[in-house]
Amino acid sequence: MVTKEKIAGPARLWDASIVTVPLCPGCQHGVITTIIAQVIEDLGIEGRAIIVNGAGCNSLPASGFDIDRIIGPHGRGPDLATGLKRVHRDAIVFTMQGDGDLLAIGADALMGALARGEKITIIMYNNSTYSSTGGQMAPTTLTGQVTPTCPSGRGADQGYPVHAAEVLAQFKPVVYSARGAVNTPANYQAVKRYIKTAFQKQIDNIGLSYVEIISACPVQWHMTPLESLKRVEEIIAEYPLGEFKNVDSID
Amino acid sequence: MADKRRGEVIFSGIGGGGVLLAGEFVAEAAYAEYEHVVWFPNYSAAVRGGPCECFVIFSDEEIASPVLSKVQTVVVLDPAQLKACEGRVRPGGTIIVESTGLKEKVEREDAMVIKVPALENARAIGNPRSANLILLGVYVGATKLISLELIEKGLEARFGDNAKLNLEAFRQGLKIAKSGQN
Repeated sequence: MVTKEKIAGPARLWDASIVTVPLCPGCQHGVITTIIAQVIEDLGIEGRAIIVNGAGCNSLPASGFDIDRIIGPHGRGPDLATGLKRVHRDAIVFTMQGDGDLLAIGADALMGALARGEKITIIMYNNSTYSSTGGQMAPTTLTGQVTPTCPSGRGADQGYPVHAAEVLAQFKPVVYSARGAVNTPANYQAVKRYIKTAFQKQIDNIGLSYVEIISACPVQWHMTPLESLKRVEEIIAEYPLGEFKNVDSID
Repeated sequence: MADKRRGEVIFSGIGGGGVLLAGEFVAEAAYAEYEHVVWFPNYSAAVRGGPCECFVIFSDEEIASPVLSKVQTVVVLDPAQLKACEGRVRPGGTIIVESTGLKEKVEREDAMVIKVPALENARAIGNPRSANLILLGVYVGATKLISLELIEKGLEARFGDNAKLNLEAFRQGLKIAKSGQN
C-alpha cells in the first residue's frame, strides 16, 4: 500500500486562476489527450497511473489531470519513466512525448529504455516539427517541408523522415507498436484501441508498448485548422497507420 | 524635459494577443529618443494561450536591470491577471487594464487606474485582434513618454497594407487616454 504526499502542484504561471489549459485553435493534442484520459478511466488505472511529461505543447493538457505526474527536461521521458517503473513496479508509467523530444534530443534516452527492455508505455505526438518553439525541422519533418531551419524545404542534405513506429517494432522488448491519427472518427476509434492495447501490455507486464499519433498543428504549419486536417492526410501517406507489432510475450 | 528621463512599463497578457508586440513598438519608438532601451520578454511554454509579459525600460541613463519588481506603468491585457499585476506598480504609478470581462477591482489607492474596454472597442471597429493596440494607445497617451508619431511609423512599417485599421485602434487608445485626463 503506497501512501502519497503531495510535494508540488502546478507552477505559479499555470495557476488555474490565471489561465486554463492553453492550446491553439485546431490543435489535436487535446483530442489525443482526451482519448488517453478515457482509456485510463475505462481500464480503471487512475490510482496507479503516472504520467511522465516533458517539454512541448503535448504536456499541457495533462496539467488538468488528477493523476500523479512528473515533468522532466526535454527528451528525458524514458529515463524518468525507467526510474519510476523500476521502483514502483505496479504503477502504469507512460510518457507523453513530442517527435523531436523522442527521436532527437531524447534519442539516447529512448535507446537506453529499448536496450534495457523497460516495461513502460511511450506515447509520441507526431506533428512533423518542433512546434512549441516555432515549427523548426524535426526528425519527422517530411521531404520538401518548409520550416524555419530548412527554409528551402527539407532536402536530401537534411536527411529523411524517421519512421519511429516501424523502427521500434524491430526491438525485441517492444511488444506493441502502432501509429494512428485523429483526423476521422474511424481513426479516432483506432487510436483509442491502440492506447488501450498499449496500456494492457503494461498491466499484463509483457514489455514496452509504443503508440505514435499524428497531430495537426495549424499554427506552425501556417494553415487554418481545416487546411491542417487536409495536411494530416499527406502525412499519413508518408507515415502509414496501423499496428506494426502486437505480441503477447517477448520470447 | 531637461531632467534625465526614464520610462518603465510591463505589458502582461495571454500569448497570441500581441502582448510582446505592443512592447516592441514602445521599444522601437524609444530607441530614437532615449540613450538606453531594453525589451525583455517572459513567457511560459505555450505557443498560444499561456501567460506572457514583457518589460520595456527606456532611459537616458544606463539601465541596471531589464527585470523590475515594480514599474511605473503596468498594462494588463488579460483582465484575469489584474490581481497578479496590481502589486507590480510603483506608488504613484499607473495601471491600465482591459475592462472587457474584468471582474475585480484595484484595491490599492496609491496608483492611478485606467479601465479600457479595449476588446469591445476593437470588435466595434471591425478589428478584434487590435485590443492590444488600443491599450498601447492608452499607454502612450497617458504617459506621454513616447512619441506617438514614431509609434505610428512603426505600425505602418510593420503592417504595410493592413496598417489602416491598426492605426485606427491605436488612435482610439490615444483618444481614450486624452479624455480620461480631462
